[in-house]
Amino acid sequence: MNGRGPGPGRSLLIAGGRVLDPSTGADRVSDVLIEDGRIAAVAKNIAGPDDVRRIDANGLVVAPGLIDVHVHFRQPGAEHKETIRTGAQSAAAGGFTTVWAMPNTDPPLDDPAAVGFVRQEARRWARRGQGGARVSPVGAASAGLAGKRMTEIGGLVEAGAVAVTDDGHPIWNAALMRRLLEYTQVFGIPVLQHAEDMALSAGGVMNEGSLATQLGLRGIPNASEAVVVARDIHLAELTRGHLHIQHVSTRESVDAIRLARDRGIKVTAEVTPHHLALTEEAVRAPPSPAPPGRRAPASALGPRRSCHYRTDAKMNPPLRSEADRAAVYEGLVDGTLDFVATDHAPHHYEEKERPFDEAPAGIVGLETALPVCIGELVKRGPLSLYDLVERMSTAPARVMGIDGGTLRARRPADVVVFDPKEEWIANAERFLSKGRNTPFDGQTMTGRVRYTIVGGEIRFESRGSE
Amino acid sequence: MLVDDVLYTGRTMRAAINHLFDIGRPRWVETCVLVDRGGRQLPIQPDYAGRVLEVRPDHDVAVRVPGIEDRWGVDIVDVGSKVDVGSLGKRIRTLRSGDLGLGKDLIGLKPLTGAQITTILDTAEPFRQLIARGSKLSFLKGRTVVNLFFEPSTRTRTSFEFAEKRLSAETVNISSTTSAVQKGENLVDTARNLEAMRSHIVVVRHGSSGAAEFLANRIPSHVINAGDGEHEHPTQGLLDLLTIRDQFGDIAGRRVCIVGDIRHSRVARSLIWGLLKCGARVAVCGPPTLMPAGIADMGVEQLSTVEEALAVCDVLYVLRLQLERMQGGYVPSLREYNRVFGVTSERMKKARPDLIVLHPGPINRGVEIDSDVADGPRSVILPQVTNGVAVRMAVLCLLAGQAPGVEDFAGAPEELGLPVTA
Repeated sequence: MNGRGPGPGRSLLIAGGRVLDPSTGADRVSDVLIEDGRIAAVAKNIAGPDDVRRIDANGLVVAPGLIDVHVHFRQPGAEHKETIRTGAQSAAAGGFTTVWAMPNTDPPLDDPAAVGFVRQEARRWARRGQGGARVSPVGAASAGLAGKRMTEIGGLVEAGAVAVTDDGHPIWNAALMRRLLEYTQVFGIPVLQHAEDMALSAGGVMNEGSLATQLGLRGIPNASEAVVVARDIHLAELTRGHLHIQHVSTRESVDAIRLARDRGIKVTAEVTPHHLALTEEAVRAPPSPAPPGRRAPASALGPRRSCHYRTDAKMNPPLRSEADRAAVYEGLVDGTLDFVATDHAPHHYEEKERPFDEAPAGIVGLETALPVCIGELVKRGPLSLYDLVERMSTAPARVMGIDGGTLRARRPADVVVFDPKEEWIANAERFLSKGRNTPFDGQTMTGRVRYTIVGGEIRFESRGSE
Repeated sequence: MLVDDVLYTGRTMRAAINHLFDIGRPRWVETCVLVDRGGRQLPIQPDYAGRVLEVRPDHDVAVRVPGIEDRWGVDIVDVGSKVDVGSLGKRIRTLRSGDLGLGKDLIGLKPLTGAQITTILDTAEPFRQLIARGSKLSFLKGRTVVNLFFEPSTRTRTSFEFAEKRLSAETVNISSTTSAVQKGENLVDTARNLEAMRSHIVVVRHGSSGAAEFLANRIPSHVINAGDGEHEHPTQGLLDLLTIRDQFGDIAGRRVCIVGDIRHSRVARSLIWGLLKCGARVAVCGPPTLMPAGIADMGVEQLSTVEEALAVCDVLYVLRLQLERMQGGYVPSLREYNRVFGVTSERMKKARPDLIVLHPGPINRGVEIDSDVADGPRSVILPQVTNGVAVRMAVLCLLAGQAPGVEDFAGAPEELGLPVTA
């Protein structure tokens, strides 16, 4: 599946697809020629060299590879949940060509050696023909993610870190946040914030409200995110550093960011597919019927009956109310929120097979992100496919300074080819990720990745309907 | 002279005379009773009777004697039609076989209908009389019940165990101090082990909301929730409903106010659902820090003071204030809590005359409720405890007839509820 296609020096022709490239404004049927790992030409009726490998993209979309600046690949330390190899392959299967791996591993990516390991591990598997998306490490903002002492950011950047964050935890100390926003300007990298007031969310496992009350689960109020967003906007204004708010989940945060952007403060933000598509009701939604051919559940009871505590809908920040969902959706549509990021957070099935408050938070997202967004934002929403490619590729590249998100000539050939209309049933058992924890399991998806090309090399290929 | 408290059919007196004649030949025999209630079946008459009454056969006469009771007295108690264990067994069997539709488990009161709740309470009443008579029944003979308690509990566990033993079940107790959970075993593995051991009924208490449902979805045994996190405690709710119904005859239309830590209380949640389904009006009262978000969406009013609640309610349900709430900063101190939200005798002076006070126990005397209120005439805290056993017997019987994996179950003789002794 991976590693096929042309090696260095060989060429690839993606013929007859609808080329969408928001970086150039292109939206027309063209051929894309790739040579030496770079885009050689985008034009009609390219002949290409004699030994060119042709991909027939008739009826398919050809776009710059998707970029996800928020994934958890768990290596080092929790290889039973995910590894850099399986994570990168999962990303490629979802159409992603670049991902940013968060530093909350064990040990955390708080020193240059750990940061370098992540980058090298991804490259090592790529050399062996088992690569996936490009994996860029994000360094820890504080030593041990403890929120006290700043890491040696210069050293982390030298080793390959593209940003800093304490994600998994918030950067809770306002003074540390101020220093980070100041100091990172030396390197031109953003500070990524998991905005959460831990005192306000203490003990919380889902959105605060009447559903949590009736289920007897402790709630996380909207204010727990919004107060930190508001605080950090003031610090961004003070320091002129680049503040990036991760996984925005509340209407209050969207309002605060909109206001800050109107005032010219450098704050950017992302939203996850699940916060766009789902509300807290997913916690008590019955799991979808297993797709045909799925193994029987372990229990002798046959199909699960009522389930009001679905751990596959547990994440942090939690799924919120419909008003919040509508607000983050509107925020992405109107540009207040810059782009989509998955917060891909794989867990071992055994860890999710627990009472709700004991199960870890997080869901996998790489292999469902594109179809979920097509379904929510394009099929049932106001965006065009062109807009969606902008929000999943061109925008993150532009905002984060990533060399990607474009099909311009001479730029790295990171390309996704997908069928925007194919309907299929998500089946977590077939994910390339080690994680199976997703509330979208068993649901109908619209849009399917056919090829993911990284640096001119086909890293993922699927053969249509299964 | 033969002395007895109540003369009824005459059979006891005849047996005593018989016994005298086994010993020898008395010259004469006289009879003396405190109460002659009529209804004789043998030619026996009292020579001396303190009271002569005509009491209907469906009533019981209870005599109080100083030294044993507080003072002299005669109570006539309506016991309804005498409990016939055989027909009770048949009735339960009919209910089990589909009329009631409880399903496999009892996870909470929220999924139940008012009619189902009423039926459970109706079934508990005969059990209460059987308990009072000291009867041991065989409704669960041959069934294994695992009492799986991941949280410490004396009251609920003991009550379940009493109920199980009176129904002749085999009981196994697993508590958090002895269970493998302490050794790091997770709930799935515990469930699989129980499944492998073929327990018929699992009574589970766990600190996580949803744990009972979690277990119920994974094992074929009947699962009875004995309290899961802050979610529900359905048998407590049922016994509270039975206690309220005993006092007023009906739950519909009664106004009930639950006072205290609503936020962390599974007892409150079960009681609210149960009361609403039975047609009561429900209010909650307590510090706003201990009110959960969106509580009004459950269909309850909020009252701001205990005084207000006492002025309008028929029932004041006082919740226990968990002492660890101090650490959470929800209330500044126990003294402050008592001052603002405590059910004190001073506040009780303004209560409606027929108001009753309930408490799920164990009581923090002098914190949420004063001792003279808890022990006073309005308190029905001890009847709650008795009702707890009766309600749990009813729930065990109503659920346990459908145990999957027990092939010989249908028509098993003990299902008819043949009494061991009655």
